[in-house]
Amino acid sequence: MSWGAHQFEIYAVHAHLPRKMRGRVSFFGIWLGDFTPDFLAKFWVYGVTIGGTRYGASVPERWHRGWPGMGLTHTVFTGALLAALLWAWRRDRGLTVGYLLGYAAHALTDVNDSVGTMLLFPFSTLNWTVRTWAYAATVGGGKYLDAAAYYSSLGLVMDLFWLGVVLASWRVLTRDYWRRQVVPADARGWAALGRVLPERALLALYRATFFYGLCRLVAWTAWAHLLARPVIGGVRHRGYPFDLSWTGPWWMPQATLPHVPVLLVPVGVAVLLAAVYGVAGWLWEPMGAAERRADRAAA
Amino acid sequence: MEAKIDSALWYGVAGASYVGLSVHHKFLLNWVVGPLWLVAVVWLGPAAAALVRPR
Repeated sequence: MSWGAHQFEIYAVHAHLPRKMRGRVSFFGIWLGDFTPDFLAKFWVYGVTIGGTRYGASVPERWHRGWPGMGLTHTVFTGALLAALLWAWRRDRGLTVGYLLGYAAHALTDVNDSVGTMLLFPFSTLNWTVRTWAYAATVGGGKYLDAAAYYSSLGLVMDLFWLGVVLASWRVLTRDYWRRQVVPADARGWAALGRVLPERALLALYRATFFYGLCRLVAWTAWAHLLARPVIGGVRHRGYPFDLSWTGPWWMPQATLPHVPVLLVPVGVAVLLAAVYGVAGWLWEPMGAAERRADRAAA
Repeated sequence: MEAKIDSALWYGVAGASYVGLSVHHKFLLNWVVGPLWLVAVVWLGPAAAALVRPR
């Protein structure tokens, strides 16, 4: 799984929208779409322990990304289905397209760990993975071991990559960008929040997901490498060992599920990404016309 | 310019305090506390500082 990358990619998606969508796609939609897969699937991955008994998935990777399981939550198909339901409910193209783009970003980013996602669900239940780092959610290790493995592997590089993408588009974090590109697309939402919060707080709220992504990157990395004293293979270490090799770290068993050949994955991701943006661009104008008709009918 | 520096200072305070605390209390590292921490510090911090600042 990816950690801070999911927070950074929200801003990256918003900063790199097709020209005709700029200032019109909902930031809340991208945020909600990007967070939905893990809202739906992740609570049971680590589980909870009550009175000494653990309640949770017995095979976390199958629950999280597989079939049968909640793997369907990490697919473009489910993202498109939920976006269609959102459109039927709200008739808001900025929200719908934002939701779809955010959802797709999450599902496509997660092909990087050793489990990956079922990109062609429901036509195939094979996972698509490039195995960049080890999927590390385990029954015994919980969230802490998962974090330690991620921030000791190329997962850390992934977070830094997405951080770099956002920083290269640093204007996306500015007050001016928020006022001109973000607020107009969600005018009602920001206006409602503005009745109880001053602009300073609204701007902080907009930046808060980036802030959280950056802080969790720093905090988990610092904890894993400066404070933790793990015992690995019977040897106590000062911090979890870094391992930036492919499918690292070496000290983490690599969970996996039946998957397609790795070489197919970059092609599959590129085709799906192009398809998602292509369909969103193709539907953009008809959705706008339908939205105006709905507005007129409501008036 | 002064407002920008003041704002950046409060973002820095929020980041340093959140990382400093959460690295020892990892339950704080979640998507509810993190964003709320920033909003609370950036929004309420200046008012709180004004209250304790000697006149």
